[in-house]
Amino acid sequence: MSASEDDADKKTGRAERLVVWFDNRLGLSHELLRPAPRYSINPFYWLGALAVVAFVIQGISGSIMLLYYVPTPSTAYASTLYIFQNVNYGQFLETVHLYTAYAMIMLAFMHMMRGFFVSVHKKPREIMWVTGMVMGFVTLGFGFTGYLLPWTVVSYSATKVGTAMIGALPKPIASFINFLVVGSGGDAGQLLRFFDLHVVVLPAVLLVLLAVKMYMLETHGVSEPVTGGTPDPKKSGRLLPIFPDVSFYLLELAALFGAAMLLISVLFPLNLPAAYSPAAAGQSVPQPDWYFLWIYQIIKISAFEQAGLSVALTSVALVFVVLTILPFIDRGQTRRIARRPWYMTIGLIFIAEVIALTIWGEKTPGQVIPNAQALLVLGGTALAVSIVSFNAYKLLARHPKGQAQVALPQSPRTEASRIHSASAWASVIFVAVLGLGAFSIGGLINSVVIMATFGVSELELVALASSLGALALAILGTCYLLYRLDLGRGRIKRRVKMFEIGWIQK
Amino acid sequence: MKLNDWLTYRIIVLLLLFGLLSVIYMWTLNPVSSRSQTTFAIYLSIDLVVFAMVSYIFRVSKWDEDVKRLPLIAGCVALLILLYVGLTA
Repeated sequence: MSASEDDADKKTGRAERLVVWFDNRLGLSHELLRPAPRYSINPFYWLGALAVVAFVIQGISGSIMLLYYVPTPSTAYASTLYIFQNVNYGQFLETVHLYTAYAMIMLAFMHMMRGFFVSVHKKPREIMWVTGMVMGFVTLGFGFTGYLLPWTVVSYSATKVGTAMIGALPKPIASFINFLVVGSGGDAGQLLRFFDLHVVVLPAVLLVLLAVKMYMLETHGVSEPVTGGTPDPKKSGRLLPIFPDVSFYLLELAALFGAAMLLISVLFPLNLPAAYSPAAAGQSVPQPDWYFLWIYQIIKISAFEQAGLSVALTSVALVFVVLTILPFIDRGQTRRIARRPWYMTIGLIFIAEVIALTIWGEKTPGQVIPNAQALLVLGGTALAVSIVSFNAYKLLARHPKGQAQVALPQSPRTEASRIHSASAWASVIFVAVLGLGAFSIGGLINSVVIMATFGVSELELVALASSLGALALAILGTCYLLYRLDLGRGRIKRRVKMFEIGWIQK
Repeated sequence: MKLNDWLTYRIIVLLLLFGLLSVIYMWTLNPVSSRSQTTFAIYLSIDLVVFAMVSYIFRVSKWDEDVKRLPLIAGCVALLILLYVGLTA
């Protein structure tokens, strides 16, 4: 140590020297994580991080519940009820644990769909995407294993349906999953396996996968915006250190997320269903939790019932496989949303179908779905979304910005922005009109299905007439908007006086 | 921080005071009663909103950006609603 270093050492206080000592050994002041660009300060970039926040909240609430919960068939329900009624803030803990689990699944789904739309799966983030998908499956595994633990009649029946499905899988896969989740110890053995998976195996797997994904995130950084062009390094591209800048932003999001979760738990307090007993199970219709309902609804379609469970499960598995290997299917270079109409439409159809199947599953517990009904609802949803999506793309392609700027040389900026704003409004109204059209097609299909199933009723005839009226209005609105847009550009070949009301020729 | 520095600091002090009072109130609740647990959840969410608002002001000031009125007004409205729900629950 030199003399000057000695002097400096004497001048600093003991506490400061201690900090320096630790810092030299642990590298605390060094930049541990890559700084994030300013454009990433947007909640959509942090959906995955919020899912991790939900996981942390579940870890904390679950650890406290672990002190009281006993995983045997005779005590599982009693201990859950004990936490609910006698433990300090026990009801609050159970409710928050449940709702953050739901939020984690929802956030993971949103994170995946956002990634799909902005093409984060493309080079060089292919493995990140696959890792994320596996993390999604682990999250669903959390839901599946955790659902059984309270040993209520609802959770027991639903889990039995789930485990019965395993038998329909190909033999090697079925025997592996059976070994993993069912075992040979009857109800007691199964509950214990679910408990072990839920509190030990799955958290460990998720943490390892999270570490792998974070490592890759550090390597590749945050994905660039899809608007094209390189972000300005002085503005949106400016780099912000993870601590304290980005950390505080994340803490803000986490705090608001936590507040929302608490509010939801206040608004919709958890009511523990009845305990499982064979008599009670015989009276209830087994229904999985909401995040598996869409899969369950597919399995209930008559065609799959006849073809066998294995065909239905293969179809569902195919969706997951395609999503997992998406980076190796969608290999195009462009990430811009405007240039990926097919993928965007497929993504929107997937979301709409999942929502439609979930709601439908909730409304029809235990019912077998006739093929014609399934075709109408699923086909109708796909058709409605396709109409909206492709027409929205068509409209966007119809108004090139450059044209407006060239036409107005005197005050180009003001006029161009005015016209751009008018075009934006036209786009919004157009999408709203198309949305109305899509809803009316949905309503139309619904009325036809109800009348075909339950017979013609006055109420359904009124609903059918309303849907037809709304559809007519949507078609008229679409024609009118397209006509006015073409009128502005002087491209009209056949004039319709009715659509030109209020039009002033320049 | 351009939204009138003096006003912003006052907001921070008020928010911290509000958060502190809600924490003190939470310690007086009966932790087993179902009603108290509801109240606890509401007051805890008040504290989280307060934290988010203070953090927002700190972060935006650090970045030399303007503190926007909309998030602050939205936060204050949310706090008042939560307070009302908390008092009437």
